Amino acid sequence: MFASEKKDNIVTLLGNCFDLELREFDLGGDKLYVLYLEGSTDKELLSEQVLRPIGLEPGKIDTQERFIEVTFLPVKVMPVDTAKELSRHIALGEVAVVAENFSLTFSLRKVAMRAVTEPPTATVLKGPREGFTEEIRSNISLLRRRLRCSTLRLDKMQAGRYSQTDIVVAYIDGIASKKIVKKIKDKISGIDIDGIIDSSYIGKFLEEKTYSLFRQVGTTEKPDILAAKMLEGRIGIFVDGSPIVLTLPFLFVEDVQNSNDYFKRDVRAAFIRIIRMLGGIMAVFLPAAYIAVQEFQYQILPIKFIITILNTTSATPLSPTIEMVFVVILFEIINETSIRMPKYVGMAVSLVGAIVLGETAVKAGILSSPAVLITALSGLGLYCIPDEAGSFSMLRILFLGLAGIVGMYGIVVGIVVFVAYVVCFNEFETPYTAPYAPGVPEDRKDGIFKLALKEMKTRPRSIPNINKKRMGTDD
Amino acid sequence: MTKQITIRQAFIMILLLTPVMKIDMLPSYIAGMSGRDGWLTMLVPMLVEFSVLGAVILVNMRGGLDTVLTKAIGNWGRRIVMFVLILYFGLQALVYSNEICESISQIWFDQHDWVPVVLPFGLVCAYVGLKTIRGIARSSEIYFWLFIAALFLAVFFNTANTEYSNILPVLSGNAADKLTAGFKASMWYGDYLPFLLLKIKDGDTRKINWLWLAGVLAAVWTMALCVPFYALYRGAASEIPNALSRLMAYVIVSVELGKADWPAIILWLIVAILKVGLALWCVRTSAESMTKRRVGIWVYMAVVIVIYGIIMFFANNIHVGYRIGGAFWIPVAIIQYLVPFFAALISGLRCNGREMVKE
Repeated sequence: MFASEKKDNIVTLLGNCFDLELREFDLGGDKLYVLYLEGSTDKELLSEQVLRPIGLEPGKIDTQERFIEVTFLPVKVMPVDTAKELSRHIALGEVAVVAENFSLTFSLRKVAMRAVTEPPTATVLKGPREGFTEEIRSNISLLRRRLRCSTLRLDKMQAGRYSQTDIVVAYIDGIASKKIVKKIKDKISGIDIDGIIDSSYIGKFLEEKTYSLFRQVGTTEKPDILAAKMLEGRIGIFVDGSPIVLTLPFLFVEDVQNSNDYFKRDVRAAFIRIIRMLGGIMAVFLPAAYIAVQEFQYQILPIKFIITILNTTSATPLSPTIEMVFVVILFEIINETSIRMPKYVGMAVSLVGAIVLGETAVKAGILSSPAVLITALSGLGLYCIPDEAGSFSMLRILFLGLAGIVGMYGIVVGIVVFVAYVVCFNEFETPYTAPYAPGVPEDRKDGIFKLALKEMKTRPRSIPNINKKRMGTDD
Repeated sequence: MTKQITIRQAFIMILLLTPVMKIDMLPSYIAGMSGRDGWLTMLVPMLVEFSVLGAVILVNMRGGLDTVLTKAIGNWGRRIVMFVLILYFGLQALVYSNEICESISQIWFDQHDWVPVVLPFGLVCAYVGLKTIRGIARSSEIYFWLFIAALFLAVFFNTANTEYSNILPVLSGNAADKLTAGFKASMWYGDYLPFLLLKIKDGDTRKINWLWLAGVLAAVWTMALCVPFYALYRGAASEIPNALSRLMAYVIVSVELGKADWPAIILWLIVAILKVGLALWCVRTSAESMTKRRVGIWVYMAVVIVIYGIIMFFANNIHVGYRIGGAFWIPVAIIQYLVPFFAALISGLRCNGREMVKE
């Protein structure tokens, strides 16, 4: 096919879109075309490295090798034959060169992206503050700064028929389990969807229990956390367009851990982790326990507590269960509103929620102060483990319902069902509740308790990995 | 392999699940037969059962009951044994569920609420029975920490003023009857039989001896509850329906905070549900071994519906459970002792004592 025909086909396939740029060169009678998308290409670099040298070239450029000689391209070129493939590469943001005897593509992408800043969901008092952005190459470079080993593997894949989203599976060869890497890559290859907009789409395809309350894929927005997890044998999955990187396999105990823990004293870190666990337990069970002891098993409470609660609740018109469900749902509405409300109005909404609804409703006798207090404490406890706040919030409503029906017995039955359900998660050959069920004593050094870094001589046994030794050996 | 658990898990399961049905209403039932010597009556079958534990360990090391029976007596022979086990574990689940529901109804509610107790109980036990043994074993590991907390409270905050001399003199009267009366409560024993249907996996087979230690510890803490109970209540023990609840009422952390019996009561209920769930898991596993997996699930569902239908409509108090337990004690005892010893014997004879499954 002549170059001009190929060029016309490409323009037609791309729908003659307004941001498609075309540069035409006549080199000794032979045509050479450079096509690219205006917003996706570093025009300065293109001009300096490609267009100017071609324009100044006196002779013909009739082979790919000659093209590479003439230009000063710092990137790899890929020969592409058909107009369809060339148009696909242009749509991906690459530059296409079409000549009489060859056609190729290369990438000089420059897209608008935000600066590397501290992610809002993972703030730290001490420690690194870099966070991933939506640009996959920038994220990869942040990871490479942390893991400068030659065994870092970055396997590129693509998913999404229309979005053609780049996905990179990152792992350390010699540490990550090859079986798990293959399983992840097979699952990603099997995704057949029109578009991947965010990493959570990939996460949902990787999970085995789709409708579970609990997530089965870890996430992180920080390169230091990702590097640490990869050194334990986990695999990171980057998705272009998303600052959230997925990590697999995932353990429930990871939600109790925080990067802050590794930058402070170990005793303090262990104490804080216990506080987080207690906060989570308080968030889920406190409202239900309050209802159970008030309506059914009041004999559990000391007499002074019973008298206090009776005095404050005797005048309220609603039954304790209805009242508590009402307050919890009200809390959820306020929570959702505070996320969606514009920043400038957010403060007013918080004041309305806290003062008007809380205090006034109690003074009016519609709600009792213990109910508001219990819900507030439960709400605070939810954000001790922020990644599971949504799941815990739904669980507490479930337990509230059970407690309202049959009291503490309902809570116990709910606990048995919940534990039996969660302990059976076994995705990617990793028990979800390890290292506590099944018990893996070595891994408990960095579970809910935390020992000193010097003590962690081996990699976790709960996660499939090769090369268990972390200290005292050459990799 | 979904029927595999580790030594650690087996240890915890024996420690938690063995005593659970012996410390609730059984002491009162036994007291009706043996008076203040009830603790000895309860102890004798526990000691005899250590021999059953030995047989179970031997069969387990040789591949489990399924493998041993298939090799030794063929598929049809195995099916007959599995059918017998379905009946055995189903009956056990019925009696245990009846007792537990009665206990819940007495402790947790003011009035004798039956349907609101039985229905959720049946559903949760059926759910646990549907899980793999790994799920039941891992759940036991989680609850082990609650056991430690409850034990700590019971040991350090117990205010009961027990006169242990009240259990003296020992075995006055008809000693032989008292020592053998425990076998009439065979329904509340047979705790090691479920381990025939699963595989205990560990790289070092010497660690399997830990299971003896688990059995001893389970016997010790069962007696640690029964002896004070009989010492406190002596001849009136038969009138006290719930031994655990009554003993835990003496655990008082402070006057302001009141009793701290609820961790132990909650733990007991959780472990009791696991116990019944394990019995139902054995029903399902036996049914699947007897037939194909899909048919086994239907058999399991039918057994569960029958059990909880009977409890809901016909067996709505503990005395029905006692009558059933007492009426079937002979066949239950025979199965409890015969099946493990028979399996251990044939595994030795037909397989020359070799391990059939490599670790």
